[in-house]
Amino acid sequence: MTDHSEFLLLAAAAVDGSLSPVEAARLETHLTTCPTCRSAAQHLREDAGRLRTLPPVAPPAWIRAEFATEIGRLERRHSRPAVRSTSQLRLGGAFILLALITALLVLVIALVGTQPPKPIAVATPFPSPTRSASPELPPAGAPIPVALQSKWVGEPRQISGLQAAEEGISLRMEMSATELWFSNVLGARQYDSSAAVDPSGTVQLVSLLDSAGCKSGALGQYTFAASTGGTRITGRAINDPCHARADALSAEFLRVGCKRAQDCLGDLEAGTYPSQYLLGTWGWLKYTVPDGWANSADNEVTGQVLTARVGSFSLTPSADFAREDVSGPPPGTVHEVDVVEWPMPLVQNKDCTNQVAPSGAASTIESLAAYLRGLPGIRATPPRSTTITATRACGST
Amino acid sequence: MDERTELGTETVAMERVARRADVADLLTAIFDAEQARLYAYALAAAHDPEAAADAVAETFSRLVREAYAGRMPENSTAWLFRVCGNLIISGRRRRSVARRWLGHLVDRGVARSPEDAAVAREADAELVNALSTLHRDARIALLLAAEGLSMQEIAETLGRTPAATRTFICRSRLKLREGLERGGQGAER
Repeated sequence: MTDHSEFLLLAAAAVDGSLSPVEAARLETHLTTCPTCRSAAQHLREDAGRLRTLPPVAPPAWIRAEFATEIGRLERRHSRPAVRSTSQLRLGGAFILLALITALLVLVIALVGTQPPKPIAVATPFPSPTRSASPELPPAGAPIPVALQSKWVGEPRQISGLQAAEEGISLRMEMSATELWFSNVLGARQYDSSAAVDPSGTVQLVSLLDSAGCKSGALGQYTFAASTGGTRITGRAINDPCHARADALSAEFLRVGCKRAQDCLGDLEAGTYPSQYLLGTWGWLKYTVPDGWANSADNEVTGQVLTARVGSFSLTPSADFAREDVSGPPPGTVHEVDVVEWPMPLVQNKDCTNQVAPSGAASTIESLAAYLRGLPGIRATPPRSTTITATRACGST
Repeated sequence: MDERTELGTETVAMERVARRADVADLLTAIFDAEQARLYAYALAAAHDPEAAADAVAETFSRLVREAYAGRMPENSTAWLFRVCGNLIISGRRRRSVARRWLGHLVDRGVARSPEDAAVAREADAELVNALSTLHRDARIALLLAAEGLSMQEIAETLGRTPAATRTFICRSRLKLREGLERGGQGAER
């Protein structure tokens, strides 16, 4: 009996025009004798047609408004690059919230910035590498260690040849058991390489495609040294004809451990870290944490209610972070320090008379600082007033 | 000589202004031409009006940033569908923290209207239903193929090899057919 499933697959492939002449002839011969498959092939072609003519649907109106705002923002930035921060901060009237948030930001920097960074022991789990005899060989050997299989981010910088990262995003690199690639730009992989570890412990990368100045088949050899907790790795190129890939990988990378499908780091080892998205307008945040903290959010925010691109960032005690899931923390159950960049004034226009603050809740910068000072692991300094692009923070006059 | 230099500078500045206006006009034209098709695609791919709208908004926002960074995609249509598909796949929930903040801070006067959900039903309901029974990656692969993207482009969006993508699309077409036959029978009998 004929195996019709094979011909159905061929008929489906024919829709995409991806049959070889031999396969096409084989299918054609079968279709002349099999009415069932002929009808199925006809249906498959019709389905493709229906998919092509899916009726357009008008999207919600806020998408257009947001689009226009984004154009306006970049028009302004390009027309007056020297004063771009100031122009984005053209504030009028009440900007209490902005000031509050700015102050909170300053407070957080003050709080975490004074922690002396504990030195992080660097372990080298992989033995020192030796040079491979034949660079033309494809990588053979063991899969990439599980400890390295993750998404990783590095500090924002420009790599010649690598497609520039999206605005405000650092270097983003991913490793699976058999591959390594950079994913700075959504929808595109760069330096897409097959990866394996040779017996000496060297990671061998072979470019799969011509990409960003790397020739397909280019073989690079690398070592990665990991921190004690395995959340920070440092790449070192031993040998790579693709200089841009070597440049991109010769850096420290931080493990992405976000629960919310973003690029936040999750549980942190004690140390100093850069933020990934926050404060594209004002520069990136460096923060220092002791053990027991997690970076639970670090992302850019756009959307229907926000008419500007902003960054937001959270630190959460690890015990609370453990209770978060993909949709974030269970409501009202976690402690976190949020820093939100808010480059425009918001108007408090909601009736909040029925919203009673719980007794003892911090409602001033000073009481918030006092509360934070009481948290284990935080060393607080007195809040200082500061000025960011000519806007004074709350608490100063 | 000074005069000429000054004149030259002014011309350059004027050209720059003109070019910027061109970028804004071009972007707006692309938005007008593509938004409804892209949203229909996102609805069918994500099967969730909110996620679809987020993905479409974010896609256009990225197009604007690319354009002003001097990297206007050569084929903007393919680029839009690919990036939008990728955003749906990566399922980025970018707004969670700010949303929690906003709930306390502002009246959401521009909240989603009920029409937003209703428009989804105007699409080819039978097809969209059958699509919804497929894996999300299969939906995106079929929809990207329908947009005329190359096998290579679809493969890159899905993070698979072109060969695996070809097989994947074939199997997805057969699954969609099964879904349509099941749905059709259910509706008729």
